[in-house]
Amino acid sequence: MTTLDNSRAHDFGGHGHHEGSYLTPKGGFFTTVWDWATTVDHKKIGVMYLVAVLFMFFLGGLAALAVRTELLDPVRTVMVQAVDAQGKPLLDADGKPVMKTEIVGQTLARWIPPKGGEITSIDYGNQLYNRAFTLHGAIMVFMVIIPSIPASLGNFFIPLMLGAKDVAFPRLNLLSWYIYVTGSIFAVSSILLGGVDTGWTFYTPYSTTTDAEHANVVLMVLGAFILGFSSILTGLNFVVTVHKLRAPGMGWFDMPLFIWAMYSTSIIQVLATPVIGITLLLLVFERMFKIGIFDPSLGGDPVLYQHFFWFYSHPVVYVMILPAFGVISEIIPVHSHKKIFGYRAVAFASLGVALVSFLVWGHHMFASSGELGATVFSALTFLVAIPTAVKVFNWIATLYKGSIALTTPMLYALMFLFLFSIGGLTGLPLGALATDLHLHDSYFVVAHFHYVMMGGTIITFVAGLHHWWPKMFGKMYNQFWANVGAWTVFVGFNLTFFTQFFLGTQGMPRRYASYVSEYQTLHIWSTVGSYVLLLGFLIHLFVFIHSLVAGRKAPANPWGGLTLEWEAESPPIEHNFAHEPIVTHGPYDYETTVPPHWSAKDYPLPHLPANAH
Amino acid sequence: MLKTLTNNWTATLAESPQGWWAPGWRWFFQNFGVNENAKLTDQLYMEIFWISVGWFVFLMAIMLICVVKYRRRPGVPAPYSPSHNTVLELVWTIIPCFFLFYIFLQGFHVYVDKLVAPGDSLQMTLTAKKWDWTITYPNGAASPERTLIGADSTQFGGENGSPGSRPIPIFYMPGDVPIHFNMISQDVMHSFWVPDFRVKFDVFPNRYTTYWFQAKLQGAETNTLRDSTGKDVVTAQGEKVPYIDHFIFCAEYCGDQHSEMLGIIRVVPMAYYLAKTEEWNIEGKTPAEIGKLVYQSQGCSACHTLDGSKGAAPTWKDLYMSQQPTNAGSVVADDNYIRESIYTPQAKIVDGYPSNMPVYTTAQIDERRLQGLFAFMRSISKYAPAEAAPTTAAPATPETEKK
Repeated sequence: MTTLDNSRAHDFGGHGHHEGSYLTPKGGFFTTVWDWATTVDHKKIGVMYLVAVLFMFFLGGLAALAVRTELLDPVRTVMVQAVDAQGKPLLDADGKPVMKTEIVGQTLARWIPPKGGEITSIDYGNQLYNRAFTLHGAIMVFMVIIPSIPASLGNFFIPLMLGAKDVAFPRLNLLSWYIYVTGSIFAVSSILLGGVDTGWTFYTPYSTTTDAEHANVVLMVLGAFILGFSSILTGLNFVVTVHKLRAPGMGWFDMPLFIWAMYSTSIIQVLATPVIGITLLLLVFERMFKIGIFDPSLGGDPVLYQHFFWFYSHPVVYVMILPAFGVISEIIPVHSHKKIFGYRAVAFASLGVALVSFLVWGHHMFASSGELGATVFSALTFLVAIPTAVKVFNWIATLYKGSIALTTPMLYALMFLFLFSIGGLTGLPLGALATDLHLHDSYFVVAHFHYVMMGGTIITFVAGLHHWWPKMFGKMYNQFWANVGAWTVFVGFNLTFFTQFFLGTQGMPRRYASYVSEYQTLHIWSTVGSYVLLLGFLIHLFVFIHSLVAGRKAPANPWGGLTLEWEAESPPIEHNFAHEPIVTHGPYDYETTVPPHWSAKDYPLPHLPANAH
Repeated sequence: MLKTLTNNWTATLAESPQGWWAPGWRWFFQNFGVNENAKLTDQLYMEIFWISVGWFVFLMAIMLICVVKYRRRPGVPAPYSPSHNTVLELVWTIIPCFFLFYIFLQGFHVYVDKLVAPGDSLQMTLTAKKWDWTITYPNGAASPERTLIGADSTQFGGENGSPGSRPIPIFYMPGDVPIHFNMISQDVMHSFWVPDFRVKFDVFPNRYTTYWFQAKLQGAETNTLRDSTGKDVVTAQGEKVPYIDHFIFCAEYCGDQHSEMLGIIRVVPMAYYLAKTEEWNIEGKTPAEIGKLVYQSQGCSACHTLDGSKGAAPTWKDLYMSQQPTNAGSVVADDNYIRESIYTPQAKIVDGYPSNMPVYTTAQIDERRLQGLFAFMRSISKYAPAEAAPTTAAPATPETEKK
């Protein structure tokens, strides 16, 4: 640990005010590329993660749109124009084209020829659909949501918020990024080679016996396995950083709540990810060498796989949502200039959620487990609701008597409260045993976890990006168009997923390429919503590009935040701070502190009552 | 043919929900009172829904009031307010606990009712495989009846239907008596879900799981049975047959035709159910008739066609005693080869087809049924030795049979 202390003592200060922004190119094009590729600067690594994650989000989004488009129509057969052997349209006696029914797979086969050229049965259309939803799930979970906030915003802002120069292990940090890219390349090559149709959960025995190409399944599973290491190393790095690199004067309860959330997240990542690593490796061995761990025809137990899988994948739900809680806990105080209500309750709720998250994996298996297990897991599941609800109450209470500015990040934070409340409350009928036996594996579940994962994590990721964008790139963006984008996303999101609650209660199962036509109306609304969602994200993309090209220069502290990253320049200099910051106020003491870079004239302090602490 | 949100598409609304929770029930469900457990599930769901709506509106109202009332005014600081209040924080931690405990208890209570079958239930066996269901009745018979999804002869037909490409099985079940399934899968995991009963349970390849239900017929709104030509089906006593159809969906992803793995539970009066199962009983039938029943009831028809068209597996037309190219060389499709293909299907795979054939056991297709299959396949193959052809060229078709 001495090296860490030394680095703090020597590197701050000295060459302070002459240092340029971390974005300043180091020379010509190739020098700059080499500089980025070999950088150990947490800010550059954060930006590289951001670019990689957004690219994967684009791929996963394309798969989602393919899925939604396929579901516009329930039919298993389509009417097409009949042709003769020469490919000319057949005409009847009146000169009208002759129509005939054919299976969707035959139609698709004309556009996208199947490998091997033989299958034109119903299977072919379904196979494409099954691959699309598997890719969507696997990419969004393993390559987008899990690394989104921790790896990009976390990497960039944890050291800044702690007043540190970098994370504890900068080289390990760069390694995690390369591991992430390697894992993603495995997964993407599996797609390019024809894709897999196992679902992102890789349930056995289907995943060990599917006729999707052997190598693809192994590639995809290995991809997820490799990504796990990126997750573990990043988590480990953050835990050590939080323990060892806090600025002088910053005790545990002086840390911003984003740090608390990232700390809880990192603990889950370090503890739970090895389990999925082992499980996925067992799956690869099972698939390649037919060992008989999960395959019942060899004496294995397929439900064992589900236990292993969810023992990781449930805590990972909190790896996805806890960072979002952290971002919201930053945005709401900053944009309402109000001390967060119940700081300790929010901090401990993060840890409480992290702890209970390890005890609820069985609620994914109510329809497959015995009565006793199901009952215990149902009870434990309701326990998670309490710390989560406490957080929502605290955020809303923070708004009371605030000074609320409806900036884009704040607008998104309020939308998060709306969407996440729906996501959380619709978890109740899934946690209750009787209703879950009906709703399990239906569109109700699909809607529920999209409200939590997308309405929670992705919306917050976009909120955080807008909150910290001026700090990261030193440019402001057009607030009006960003707000238009936010409202478009909000409308599109609700249209896409609220309809799916009704589909679920009415009996529409998940992962269906075709369905009975009674569900069509709701499916059409849902698909239209997904296009609106696409439009919203495109607006954001253009706003960001416009900001980078023509945005006005961002001040160091545009929103009046009190946490340490706002003391740094926008964009920060290479070593973050010209002088090592010393913490003299709490992260949310808006009633007693003028924000850094602001004057007392811009920020009049309120009159404090005599009994205020 | 767009359907509205509230379209009563299964037309089995036997009664209306009553209670404080009942408003809005129509947004979520299509029918009520199929049985007691379904009613209790709907009640619990709607109770949770209204509790949630209460909390949601309460929280969002506070949020919106704050956003409007405390919006930023330039130069005006946010007034001081306490950022911690132990009593308030304890209250909002404890009050939700009561709600959560109530929901947990109710969920557990109805769950137990859903899982534990009455002792006097009718015992049946359900087998699942890619991508078909088979139910074996207490007398050993299995249903050979199939229909296209959305065909006019089902309750989902006509205006409401979309034509399916593959026939799905219809299982006749007596109304108003408890029925208990022992469920097992022949390949991967499946999940047996009848949305109208509000219960699903997974079906595993390595252990039995169970499912029970009782479906209301008396006092329910019913249709009367018609055959594929639209004529009323009448019993020996000359009465029309009331029935209600319920969809079966597979709810555990199981591959290419997961979304085609449907079925219909057709609830009919006990007398009609007994007559049908007796009709399908193999006792007193010729081998070729037995073979055809097995073909229809064990799911062979899901992949093997009889008219020579290409399915997911080789057609049975002109298959018997023909030469088949396989991965183990060319073979003659004789009795031994067919037997091997049923009990150990991976041994030889016909060129151009995936190895999708599920494994059957001698308990599912016993020697008598197997001989029946040989006879049936012989009757539709031009390669069959002439002297072996049955005296009646085609097997007799049961009266209510569809295509």
